[in-house]
Amino acid sequence: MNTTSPTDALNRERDFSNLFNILSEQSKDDKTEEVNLHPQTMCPAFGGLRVITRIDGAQVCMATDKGCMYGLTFVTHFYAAKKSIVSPELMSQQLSSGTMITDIRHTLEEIAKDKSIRLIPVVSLCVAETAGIAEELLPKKVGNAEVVLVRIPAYLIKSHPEAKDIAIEALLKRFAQTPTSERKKSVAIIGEIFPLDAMMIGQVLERIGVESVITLPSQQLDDYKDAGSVECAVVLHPFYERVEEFFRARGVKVVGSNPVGVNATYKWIKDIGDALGLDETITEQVAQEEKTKIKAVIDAKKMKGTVIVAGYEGNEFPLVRLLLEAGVNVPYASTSIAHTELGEGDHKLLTMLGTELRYRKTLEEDRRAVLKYKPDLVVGTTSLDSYVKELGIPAVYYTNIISSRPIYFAQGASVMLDLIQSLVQKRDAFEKMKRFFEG
Amino acid sequence: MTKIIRDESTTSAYWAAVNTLGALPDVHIIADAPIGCYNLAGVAVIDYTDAIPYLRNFTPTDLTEQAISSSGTTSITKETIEKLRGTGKTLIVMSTAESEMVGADHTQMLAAQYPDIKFFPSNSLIEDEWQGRDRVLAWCFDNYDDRKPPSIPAGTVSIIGPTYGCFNSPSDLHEIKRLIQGVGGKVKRVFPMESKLADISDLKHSDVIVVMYEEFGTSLAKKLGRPILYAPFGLYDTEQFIRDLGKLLGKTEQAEAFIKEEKQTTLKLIWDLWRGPQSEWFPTVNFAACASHTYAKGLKKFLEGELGMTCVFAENSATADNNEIRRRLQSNPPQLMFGRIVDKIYLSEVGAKTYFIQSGYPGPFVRRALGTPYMGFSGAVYLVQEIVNILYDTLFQFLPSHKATNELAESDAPIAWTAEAKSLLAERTKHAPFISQISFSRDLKKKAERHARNQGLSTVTAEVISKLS
Repeated sequence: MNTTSPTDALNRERDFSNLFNILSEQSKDDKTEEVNLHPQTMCPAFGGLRVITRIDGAQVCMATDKGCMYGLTFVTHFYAAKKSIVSPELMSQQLSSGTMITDIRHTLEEIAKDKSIRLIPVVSLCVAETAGIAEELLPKKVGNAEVVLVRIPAYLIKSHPEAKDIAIEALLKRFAQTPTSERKKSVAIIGEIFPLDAMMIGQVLERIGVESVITLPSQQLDDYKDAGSVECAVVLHPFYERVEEFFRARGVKVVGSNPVGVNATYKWIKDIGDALGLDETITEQVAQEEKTKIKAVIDAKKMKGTVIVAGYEGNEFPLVRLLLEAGVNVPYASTSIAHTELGEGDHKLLTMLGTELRYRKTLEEDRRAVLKYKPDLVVGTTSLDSYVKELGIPAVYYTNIISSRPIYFAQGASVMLDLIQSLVQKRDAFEKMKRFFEG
Repeated sequence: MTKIIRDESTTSAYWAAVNTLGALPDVHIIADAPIGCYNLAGVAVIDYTDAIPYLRNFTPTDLTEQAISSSGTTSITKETIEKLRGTGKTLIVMSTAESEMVGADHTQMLAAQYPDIKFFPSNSLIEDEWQGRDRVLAWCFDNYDDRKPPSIPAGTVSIIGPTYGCFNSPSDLHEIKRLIQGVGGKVKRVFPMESKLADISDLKHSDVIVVMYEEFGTSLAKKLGRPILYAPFGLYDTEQFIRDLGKLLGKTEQAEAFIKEEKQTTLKLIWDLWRGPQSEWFPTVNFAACASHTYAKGLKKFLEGELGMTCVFAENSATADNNEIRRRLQSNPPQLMFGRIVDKIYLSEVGAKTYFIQSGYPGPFVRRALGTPYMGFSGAVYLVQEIVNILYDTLFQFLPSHKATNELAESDAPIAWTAEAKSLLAERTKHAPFISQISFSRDLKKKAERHARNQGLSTVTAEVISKLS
């Protein structure tokens, strides 16, 4: 009886391990150039879709081919919103007859028949961008719905976090109110964060005298409007370069970084206080309090061990900062985004503390780091993690396991350090499972 | 006339090629693709449909703006080939929608510089995934068969079967193998899953070819010049399949004995449920299906044609218009929906009480365990068991419980009903699942009266009913 299952076949083949050994040998030999083949990011366009499909009253109109739409709808329904995505068919026939713009216009009219739709983002992807969409040929408004063109072709943008930047910028450019109506002591927080972190930020900022806080990306279109009148933009994640530029160009003060770890949290609170000209004594007091609380948590949870952080969300390095403060050895960390000005603070700090950093990383770079540093835990991408688990080392997907938990202030530090500690201790289970499937 | 697509549920021939060639461990695919086409097909979606952490034998050229606007994709394709040579794999370069946009065809370059590497044009701006699977399988035979004459050991059967992205295929494949073995046949080869590319030469050395899906595999099967059977759904087609296979293999007696034994063992549950009260529900139950062609057709044939359930619709997901599916599901939700995640979304938009049974892609869903077939005798048994358990659960949902409510605290002052309100109540009740209509009606009546009281009304009007969800 033939009992071969697909899994058996894969396990027996171990083709990927062999491939990697060859790559590893190749780079050891004569070639100084490293063999890097698999860039690590989701489809960049997904980042933009994640931002815009979640907005209440928004109905996305995608301009793309069948295969692309299938894949992006699939991941959007899984990771962004339980909402339909609509698209005019864009295949050979439409491309050769040149009806794309007409087809998009018809689709917009069809969508706008639903009077509850307030926003139609036209998401232009690789094939449509290559064919060429002229923005002036699209209406600005159809029925009750504002129409906004969001261009996020994967060949132009190299990672999904950076597409979030483009999507938010497109919405701000269109909807943000004029700066004349600026509201004093108001802040826009830029960056997707865990809800509890957003609440904590609100509480801390209220204590130092901030009067209103908006967080972007938001489910409310009104937040994009109100963001135009804030006094200060706090950019939590380093890939929001266009959004930062948008605010700077309007004369809005910008504060970078985020409240992770002892010194960064202190400085972050002080910077916001300074930017808004808040009461120095109170700001200092709150900053000191938060610093003390985080320090107490970190001191109580000191740990040893080697951890590699290699996600692709673009906001990995604050976690590295926290782990280093807690005594963890983090010899290598990598991410999908480019090295940016906003990330310069972390870059300098982590490099100084001895962490090797990679931007726009490939799977092969991360694997080499795993072989070189033999970590006790890897916080990575799904591809990297499966390799690491084959070695019997604990590994978790940064996107699922870290992004779904608080990391800010003392509470976040506590949750994160407990998590890392418990994962490192799971090593036996990972080794045992590996041995079982090898046998 | 603009064709407006809602929630694309059938992917392109490029994905078909990745899902087919990726299943062959001696192949390494180079896709002339932007990073997104690599990530979506080879990392993200394949993990949610097939529980594969990522496709190992798959590398993108990583198309950049420069390649698209000026330099072309030849040099990055060559660079990628150079990095992958020496891995001992058969390299195959394929196009994507985007590389086709810039007219990148590497056939000649490969023929001149890398004669052992072939180019597969994915035709992604023309063909869908089922057309693509069919064509790439035939292409494998045309390009990689050893051209030796067939030598056929008696009783051998090969299956042209699942690729990645074929819903529930491990269980169905398991069942088809079981049926073949029951007749006394020997499963020679399953292609592409469970095989290498080099094994394609083995297919022609088979007595009979079984094609698992009507939507793809036939072109390859026809090239083999052997008798072809299609995998069956339901009791009667499965019985016929076993007879036909027995005849083709010269094992008629064994086939008849197997059918007899199956009726006493595997299928006994259906006969027991048929004689019990459970089967009497079937004529009162309606269902809809939207899935792959083979699945939609098979579900209709078995559930409607053999069990007597009412089929609201059974649509091939590849040709169905989701705008229309959504309208139909929302205006008249069926009791059972065999569908895709998009159907689940449409039903949830109106809060429908429909039982949703994932029966196709798209949608993240693991179906790797071998005990959930839809095809064959085991499939019939599994489906009947699932449906009966769903009906039991429906009943459970409507039985009274000690759930905390404020009903007891309400006054018992009688409330009048207008004739219009009464007929609306009757109308709504009709749409409730048959077996729960009595309790449904009672619940709705209570809700309406409570709502009227809260509004300070002494009469339930049509307006009150219309406000109830």
